[in-house]
Amino acid sequence: MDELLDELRRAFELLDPPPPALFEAARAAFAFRDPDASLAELTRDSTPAGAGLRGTSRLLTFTGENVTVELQVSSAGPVRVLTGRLTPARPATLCVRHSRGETRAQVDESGHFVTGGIPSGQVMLHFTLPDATTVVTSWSRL
Amino acid sequence: MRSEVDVTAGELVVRARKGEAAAWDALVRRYTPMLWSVARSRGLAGPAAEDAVQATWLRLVQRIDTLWEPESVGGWLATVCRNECHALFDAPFAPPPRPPGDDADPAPGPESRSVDRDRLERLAAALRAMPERCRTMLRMLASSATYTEVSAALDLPVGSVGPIRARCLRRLRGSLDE
Repeated sequence: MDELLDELRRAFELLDPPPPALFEAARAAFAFRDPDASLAELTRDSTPAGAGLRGTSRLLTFTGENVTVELQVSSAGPVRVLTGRLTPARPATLCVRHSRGETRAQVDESGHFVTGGIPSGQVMLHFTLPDATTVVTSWSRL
Repeated sequence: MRSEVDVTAGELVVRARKGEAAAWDALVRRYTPMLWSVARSRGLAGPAAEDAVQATWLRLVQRIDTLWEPESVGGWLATVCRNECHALFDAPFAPPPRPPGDDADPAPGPESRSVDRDRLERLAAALRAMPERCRTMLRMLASSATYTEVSAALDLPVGSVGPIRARCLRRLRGSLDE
């Protein structure tokens, strides 16, 4: 390696190293691995006009194979309230994964769900359907 | 027994797909410094840079089974991290980015006694004063990134990395000699 690059490496190792907590968090992310889940990707993310009068509100749509998740995100200070709908409609168990752990909720027979107290940051929704298959959304910054 | 650096990235991906946590840990150790370089060079302050890097790893967890070229996971990570940094800059109500490194204030470690800390600080300051492309490229290369990974992070043809690297290094030397 070039001598100057080697000096640069030492400089940043000393002055601005990656925080140890970052390695820990990245390692821990492996626990979220769920190879059998069907992944619903973010396909739409919008902030409707007029939002923001009472907290901001965002509309997100996740689309996967034969499944759609629509999500409305409202801010209440540092936490988020999630209101959403799973299509096709069916009851399910929802587990919201976020920076401070998990929050569980039920999806009713019409596919609707609501859950609050979600900390802002990276969030993912994990649905367990009646036939025991799982659907996950891609991680999003809420 | 082979040391960790001898194991290819592709092999680590394949082993992580089988659920081997040690292989995932090895990927994290290998690529987190490079991703941190990308996020910090882009001008993200500490917490935002951590957010971008963590988001990159979360994406890999979800997509590791469908990566087309496990061997190119480093370039894939660099591209995702670039996009995550971009998204953070564009996020509604995002705090304005601060100049890179302005919140770096580590306590002097034992190492500082054995190296010329003044010289390293001057070097880091000179790099921070350079254009973003040079800054990112040199900092990534200093974190052992490959040309392919640099080209992915900067969205440059891989063939242009060598010549730009030479120009940026010349420029950095020049500003140190001033």
